[in-house]
Amino acid sequence: MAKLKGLKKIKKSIFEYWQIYLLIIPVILWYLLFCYYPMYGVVIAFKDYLPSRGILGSAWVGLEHFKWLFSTSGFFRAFKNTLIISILKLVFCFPMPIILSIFLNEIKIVKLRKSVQTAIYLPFFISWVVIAGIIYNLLSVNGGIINNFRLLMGLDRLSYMTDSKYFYFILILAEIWKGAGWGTVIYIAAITNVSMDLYDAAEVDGCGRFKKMWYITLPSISPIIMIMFILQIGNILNAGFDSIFNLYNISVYNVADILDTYAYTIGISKGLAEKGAALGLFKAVINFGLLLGANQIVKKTSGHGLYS
Amino acid sequence: MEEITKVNTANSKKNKITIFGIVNSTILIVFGLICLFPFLYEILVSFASKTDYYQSTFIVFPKHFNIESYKYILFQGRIGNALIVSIFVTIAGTFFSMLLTIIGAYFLSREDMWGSRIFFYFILITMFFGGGLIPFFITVRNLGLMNSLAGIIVPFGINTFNMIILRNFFSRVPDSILESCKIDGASQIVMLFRFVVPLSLAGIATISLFYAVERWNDWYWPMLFITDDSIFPLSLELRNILSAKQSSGLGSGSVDSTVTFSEGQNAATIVMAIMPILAVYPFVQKYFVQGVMLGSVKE
Repeated sequence: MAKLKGLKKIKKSIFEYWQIYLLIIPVILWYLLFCYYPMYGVVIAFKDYLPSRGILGSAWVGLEHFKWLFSTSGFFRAFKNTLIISILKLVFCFPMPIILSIFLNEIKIVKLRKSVQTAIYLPFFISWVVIAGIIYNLLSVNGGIINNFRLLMGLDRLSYMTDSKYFYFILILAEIWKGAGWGTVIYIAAITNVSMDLYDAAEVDGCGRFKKMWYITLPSISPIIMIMFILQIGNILNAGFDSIFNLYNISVYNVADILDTYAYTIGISKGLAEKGAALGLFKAVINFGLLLGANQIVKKTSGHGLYS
Repeated sequence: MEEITKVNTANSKKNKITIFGIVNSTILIVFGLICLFPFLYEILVSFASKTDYYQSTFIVFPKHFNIESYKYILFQGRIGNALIVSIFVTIAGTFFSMLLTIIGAYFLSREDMWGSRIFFYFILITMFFGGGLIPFFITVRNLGLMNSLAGIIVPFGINTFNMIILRNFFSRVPDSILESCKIDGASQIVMLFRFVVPLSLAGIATISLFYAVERWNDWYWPMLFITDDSIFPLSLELRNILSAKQSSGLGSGSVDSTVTFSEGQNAATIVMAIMPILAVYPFVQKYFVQGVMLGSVKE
């Protein structure tokens, strides 16, 4: 009886919405073609790929590519750099939007607050190619503003971009410049959802501005902070292809090459498609595991998770 | 849809000027200026002459309005051509993406439609799992989209995240309006394009802008898929100009013309690449913000 009812419902739906069902076909086709179909290709990580044979026709070699990967020094260097950069980002870049949004919230003059917000969102919409270009110009040895400043102070010119000492510093500052402003959008939305009553009650209890921040604002937005944090952990092996690819050069490979850029180098530049794919698969599996793990831990400690 | 103007501290009642208020505002204003300054710097450099640049002691200040750098990149370089390519790809790409995304988002928003839920999981999976670069590359190549502008538009038609945000906008259209449409005998297509879309203009604008920015800034896929340099988009040209610098890591170039210098050309190219965004941004910025905030909350 229930099955008949279900079928009847489907028939009714199709009858009423047939135009939409027709229109949705190209959309589904797009997904099948460009998202699902390429999924079979993940097996390329386990095969000895010959273009003439295609992916499915190529010979199966099991974990050979993974073994090769773990034997190269390039892999471990990339892995180390990835972890270092991700941790640096977690420590320096992650808190920035939170701090910014809390203090942005303290600006009472609406026009001023909105102007500042307009200014800080802008870098997000500019591509990393442009931002890297700007940074190269700013740090340029001959006429760049930083080196000009050094000359004024009586110091020598420095070539910042080719010195691995400065790479992390430049990278983190660039990431903050590009992302911190836009990152505040989510947190500000959360802050404005905090009920005014809480602040009024605190005021009555004699809380000053900073106490209110610490005891009301922060705890109220901690669920969203936790969610963002979990997502960051799930991204630890991703350290940022776009930013690093555009900012690095040969002289700083030893500190700048991360798993993604290494995968690009071996997969595309050197044409070792299978090994690049193996690296990608390795990363995806670990990232997924980290995401689940971080979600579990945060759930146990604070009661919030990605699904709560 | 309120704009976010609420300020959540109890001090807003008193509205007095405090030392904290001044210091806080100053720091944030400085941060805002720092965010803007690099773009201003590039604009200055792009209008500077070679002598201006090498003689500058701190910030390059062009003594005259010098357009040598622009003339060089637009006419001698490929930038003029690349600009046209980028404009075409952005407009066509946004149009194509919006068409598919609107249909998909509408389907998702009609929860009484059979298959709506299934479709949601169908697209959700694609956000987490993928085949990887090589299979995607092979697929695009097998479809004959290599080295063509269609190749950098069609395979990137739908951003699932954007579709979900648009779905949330569509859900906000009151059922009563759709009911009266049905009673008046409107077909589903009419309902979608004559009612739901115009009523969700904020969402449409937002997602269109997201797609436009994506297409305009995209350099990675053109780099992989396009080998014919007569159809390089602007972002890819910029990327090539940059990487030519990367091998030396220094900021100087080797141009034998006596009036052009590489930093100036780079600056001019950068200004061309960001000009559309800078011009449009102040007016549409609120759509982005509203879009993200409203779109991430499902009603």
